[in-house]
Amino acid sequence: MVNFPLFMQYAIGAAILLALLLSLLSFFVVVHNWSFLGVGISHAAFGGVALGFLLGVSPDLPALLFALMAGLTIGFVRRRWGFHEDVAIGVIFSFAMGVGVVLFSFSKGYTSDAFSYLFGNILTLTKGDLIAIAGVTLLAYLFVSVCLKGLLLMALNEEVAYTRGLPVGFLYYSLLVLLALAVVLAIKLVGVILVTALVVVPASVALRFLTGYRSILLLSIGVGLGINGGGLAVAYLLNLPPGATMAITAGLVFFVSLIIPFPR
Amino acid sequence: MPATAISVEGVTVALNGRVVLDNVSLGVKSGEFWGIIGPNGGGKTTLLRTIIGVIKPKRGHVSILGLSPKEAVKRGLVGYLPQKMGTKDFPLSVLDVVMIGGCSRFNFFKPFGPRQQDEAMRALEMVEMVEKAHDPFPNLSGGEQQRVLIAMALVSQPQIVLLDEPSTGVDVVAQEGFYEVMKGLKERLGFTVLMVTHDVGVISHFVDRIACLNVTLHYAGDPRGALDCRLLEELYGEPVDVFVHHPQCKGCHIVRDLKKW
Ligand SMILES: Nc1ncnc2c1ncn2[C@@H]1O[C@H](COP(=O)(O)OP(=O)(O)OP(=O)(O)O)[C@@H](O)[C@H]1O
Ligand SMILES: [Mg+2]
Repeated sequence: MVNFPLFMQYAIGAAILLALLLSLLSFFVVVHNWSFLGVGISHAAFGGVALGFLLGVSPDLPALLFALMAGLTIGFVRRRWGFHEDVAIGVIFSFAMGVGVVLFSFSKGYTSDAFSYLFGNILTLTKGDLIAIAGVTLLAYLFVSVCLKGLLLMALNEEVAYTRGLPVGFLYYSLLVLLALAVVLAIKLVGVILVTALVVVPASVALRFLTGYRSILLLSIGVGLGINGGGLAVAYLLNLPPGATMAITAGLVFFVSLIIPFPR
Repeated sequence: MPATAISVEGVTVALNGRVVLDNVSLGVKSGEFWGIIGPNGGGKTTLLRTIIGVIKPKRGHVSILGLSPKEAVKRGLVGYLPQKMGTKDFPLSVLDVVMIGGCSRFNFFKPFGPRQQDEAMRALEMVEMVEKAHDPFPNLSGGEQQRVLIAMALVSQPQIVLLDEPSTGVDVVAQEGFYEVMKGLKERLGFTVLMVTHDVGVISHFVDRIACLNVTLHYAGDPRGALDCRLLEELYGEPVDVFVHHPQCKGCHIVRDLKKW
């Protein structure tokens, strides 16, 4: 048994838990056509990171608040004005990134820190992060197992879900909040720019091969674990940046899944 | 004397400041099968969405089995097939799609079991889609998908069924099969059905009542009366030549289609 240094133990724990979390939510991201949601939320979080640096406080909390605000705003713009989520994502993405860059320009000398949020830095992971990730993962599994049918019907058609008497607003915003939490927690591991791969790839791969939603969810989680575990292992062995290696792994897994004959 | 299933009283709806429904009143009795016809943009979809409570009327009142739309919907009394589902790519199997349609407040926490599967299969039988039950939904043809969505609206056996152009893309034989099924359902199970359609000639043989809607309600009553040329001209704004089709005749469609050429 290899004796990993503490930061590596944290990284392994975070990689596994985030795989469980992001690949579960990945399914809903894909059925809702929300591929860019991860991008929007993570870049909004970057605005929060910059604010944290400027104020001289830990960027974690502002990042979380920015991510939640972004998720809820995207949902509200969709539900109140009928725009597809992509529209609000596009606006918030560059808006928050603009805010982040302006704030960073006031706080000179932090560019290397900015870099570690953009592309991930496992050295910044703490025990507290791990506990938070574990908590949100538990919450997500509880929510999805209790509300799975409703979530599926809502993804199929919101108006029909409403006529079946389901609490569509609650389901919708809960899903967005969970996604915002998951994405913001993944930033330290894979970074603002790379997180979206982990949100999109697992379920997309599973959907190529299966049609039953239970098996899709399971395969998606398996694919996520493979990407995170494999990516981290390769990064460790070859001494590469972990976040970037995971993103590359995710991309490769996706393209390989495309050339595997189509048994669906 | 059957109870009133859907009551629409003096409903006026404005969307973006434009009046789309003007003082519409409609009383649908329990167990009746209604067809709603009218030109594009006449407000048919808006009427259905007002009945289920998605759109709030500016004036007037809607009730379903004596309840507010919101309450009726909560109790799982309503089955609804929207005109635009936007679900062509929904990546699950046909059977899953139909089962999901049966989800309501009352079985929300219960995982799907063999019973839900049986119910879904029975709904698929009604639309003759049993063989495709395990196919991926996106792989079906447009008309096949529409049949599955009809099954989805019926799977929970709701007392009130609202269908917005259910026969879009469904071939003529299946269409009549479907109208037959709806007629049978309402006779056997006492469903109340409100169906929007453009199939003016065919529908008159299956429904109990027809409503003609173009912002205002131009006619509501016996289906025969709706085929009056002057009424249809008034409704559509130009002369309409309706070919009345007899259900026993399988060749009429062809004749009708040929007549156009
Ligand atoms: N969300 C909306 N906002 C603004 N106007 C709307 C909205 N939905 C519908 N309308 C308008 O209301 C009118 C009635 O639309 P509706 O969809 O009810 O017509 P319809 O009778 O169902 O037509 P069709 O036969 O084409 O389905 C149309 O002129 C449409 O432009
Ligand atoms: Mg319509």
